[in-house]
Amino acid sequence: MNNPDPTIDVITDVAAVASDPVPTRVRTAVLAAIRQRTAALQPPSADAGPPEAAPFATQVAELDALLSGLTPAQWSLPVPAVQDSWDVSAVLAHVFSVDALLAAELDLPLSPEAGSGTDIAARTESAQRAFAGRPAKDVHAAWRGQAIALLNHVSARPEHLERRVNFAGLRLPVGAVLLDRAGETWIHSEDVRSVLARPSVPLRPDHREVLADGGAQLLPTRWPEMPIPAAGPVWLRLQGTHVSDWLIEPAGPARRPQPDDPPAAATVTVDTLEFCYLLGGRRTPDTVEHEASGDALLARATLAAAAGMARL
Amino acid sequence: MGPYSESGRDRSPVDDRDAVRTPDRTGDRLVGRRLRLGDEVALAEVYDRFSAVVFGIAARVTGDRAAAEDVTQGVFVQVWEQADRFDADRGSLRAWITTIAHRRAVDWVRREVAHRRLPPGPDPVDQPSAEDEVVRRQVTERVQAAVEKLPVPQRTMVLLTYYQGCTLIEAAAALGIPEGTAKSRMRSALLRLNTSLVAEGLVSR
Repeated sequence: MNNPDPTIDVITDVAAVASDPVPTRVRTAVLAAIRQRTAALQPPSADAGPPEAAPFATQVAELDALLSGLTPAQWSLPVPAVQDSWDVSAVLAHVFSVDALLAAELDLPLSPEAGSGTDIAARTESAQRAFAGRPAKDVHAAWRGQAIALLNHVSARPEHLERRVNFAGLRLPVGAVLLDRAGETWIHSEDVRSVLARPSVPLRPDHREVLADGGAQLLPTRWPEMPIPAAGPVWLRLQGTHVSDWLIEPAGPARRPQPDDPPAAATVTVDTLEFCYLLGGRRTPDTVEHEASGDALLARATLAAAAGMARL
Repeated sequence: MGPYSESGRDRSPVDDRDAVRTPDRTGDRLVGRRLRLGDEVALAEVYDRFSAVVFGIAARVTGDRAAAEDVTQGVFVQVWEQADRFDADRGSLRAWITTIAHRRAVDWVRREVAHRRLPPGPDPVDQPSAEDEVVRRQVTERVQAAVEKLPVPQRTMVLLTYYQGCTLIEAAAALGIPEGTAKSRMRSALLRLNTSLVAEGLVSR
């Protein structure tokens, strides 16, 4: 079949082949303008995207609602649960920086304040410096725009949830990183509510279960840092609406126990919400409510490993 | 690869990813869906594919580099904001974006002329617009005339691809030449067409 009128194609190709390269500043400006529009949107609802992203979507909406009503004085309140010298806006700059690690892995456009590299502390510090002295709405918009962009991206490309990416020194599926982001967003929302003297908002029961399971699965990554040599597997029982059992072995992934498994060296039973606070660093092995039997040192080391997963 | 080779989709023979005779717009449809869902990665990909074509159109129509940058930016922001208006059943993504580019560039020229109160120069229309059939025919004829003036090997490439609907690979096979030769012949043809279209005043430099 002949092309009825190829004139437009000829002219556009002529123009493209003969024109100078487009300056990179145009690309930067386009992506910044798009991000500005994303940041003006409401965070998507939890059921708009894939189920793996629902806890993160829920926490983004919660934190956004919490921040939207803050006065300048409230933005400047210190958040000692994180760092004595950090105020609410510095905490948000930190959350934004860690989210940016995932955004970068997914090739999302990055705001200039997001910095570069894989070191969370360095990135956080650079973002905090970038937002220092600016109105709090800037860091709020940067965090919000990036979080919505992440959620929109995984809604549009749910097949990417299985993809393994570099995150905080580990190689994890995007879905697992989104659970990490949900947990950290929630724990820092709790920190902010605490300095505002507002009541705590526990994770939804279904979300606390997936977050606790996600944390349990990552526990073996902490074994090399365990203070004692493990005498055998640890049976971790997460007690929520349902019971979720995990067998954590020194060398190997966390897995569901099988009937013919040898007896565990230690058994630890923790409420799922308590376990989420432990993973977020807001409980210690001493303060987390739990029951333990068997090797007491190993049980305690398991709780310490969970607490050690918190970054700040 | 030159910028043009990334930009062609659908009917454009400089890109072999789509067969000209059976426009398969599955890729365009998927990208359209991702844009509607607010996927910024999709917009970045669309930018990387089409920015050279858009900038080329904008530079030609406006004859002003800074304006071409502004127009290019405006085009992609519009693509983002109006993604729900793209319908792959009605045309290719490339056609939709180049139409927006042309309109925005012509709008810039009109505003500039009104602002400076200068007498309008040569008609900035470098491609046919639906509402101006006369101009459309004139442009078509002049492009055809420019193609006729190409040296035979280059003219054959352009005729086979743009006018007969062959992909670049098919044209190379038909002419019994390597693909690389076909590509460089096409590039030379487009550059030569550029020179003659500029000389004719059909497009501004």
